[in-house]
Amino acid sequence: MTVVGIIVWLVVGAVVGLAGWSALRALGQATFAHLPWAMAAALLGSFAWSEWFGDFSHWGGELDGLYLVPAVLGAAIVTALYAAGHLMERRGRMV
Amino acid sequence: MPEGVARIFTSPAFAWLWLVARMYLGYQWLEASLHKLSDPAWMTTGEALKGFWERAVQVPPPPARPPIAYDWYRDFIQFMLEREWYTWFAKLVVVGQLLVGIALVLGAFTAIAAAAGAFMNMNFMLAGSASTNPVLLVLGILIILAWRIAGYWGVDRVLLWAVGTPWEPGALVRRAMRHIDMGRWLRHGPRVT
Repeated sequence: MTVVGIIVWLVVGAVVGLAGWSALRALGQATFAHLPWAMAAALLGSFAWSEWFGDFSHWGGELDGLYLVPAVLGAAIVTALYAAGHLMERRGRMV
Repeated sequence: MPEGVARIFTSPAFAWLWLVARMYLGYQWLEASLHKLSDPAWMTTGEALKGFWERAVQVPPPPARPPIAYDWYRDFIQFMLEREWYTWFAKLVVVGQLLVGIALVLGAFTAIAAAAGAFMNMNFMLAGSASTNPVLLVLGILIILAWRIAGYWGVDRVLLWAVGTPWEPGALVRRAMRHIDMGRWLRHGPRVT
């Protein structure tokens, strides 16, 4: 990934992370302290799918080393899993 | 361990982190094994492993240093090399890598798979091959530490509940144990009544 790819990755991660956190906030399940974790989940998910597994999912084309659709999907999936895990922990469903 | 750090290794709220970590690690193991599966040098003759072992046991004249730092490990590799164990050991390595990769991707017995992978990384490094092994070893150790939740978004979610651990048997094991007469079991072996 180079400059434009990195910028798009950061934007995708920030937007999806913010959306996930906002959803939790709307449910009354998150404070501002949870925002960095939602962002981290979105950024890692986005990076992981585009960078590590992008070779077999070139959907949406490549943008300076970033596979766009895998990046958005990865961010959405991992943020959703963060939110789900967060809700399960709050309901006391520990392992 | 501080509570905040402990949560990263035990709370479902952080299971996403370990899902990504184990997918990466599993993918690396799968990638390492898949091309070997159709390679006769690995799956038939073992010549690929023989070559690796032969290079590993070499001791160059000083000041150059041998690939293997420990004499006992060099003796161990030499022992296997002389007995031509590479013919079956190569298959063991490939199948081991494949199973570790599958288990990590699925999140099935994640900690055991990560431990098996870390053991292989350790052996590759002892044999003088650094490559990606240090990173994979550290990642494997972290996944072992997060054993409670590393497979939470995977098959372990059910397996840990059903099988449990040696110190806390799961639901299925407890149910099976209730039907076993321990006295009979010790005398005659495991007969379910």
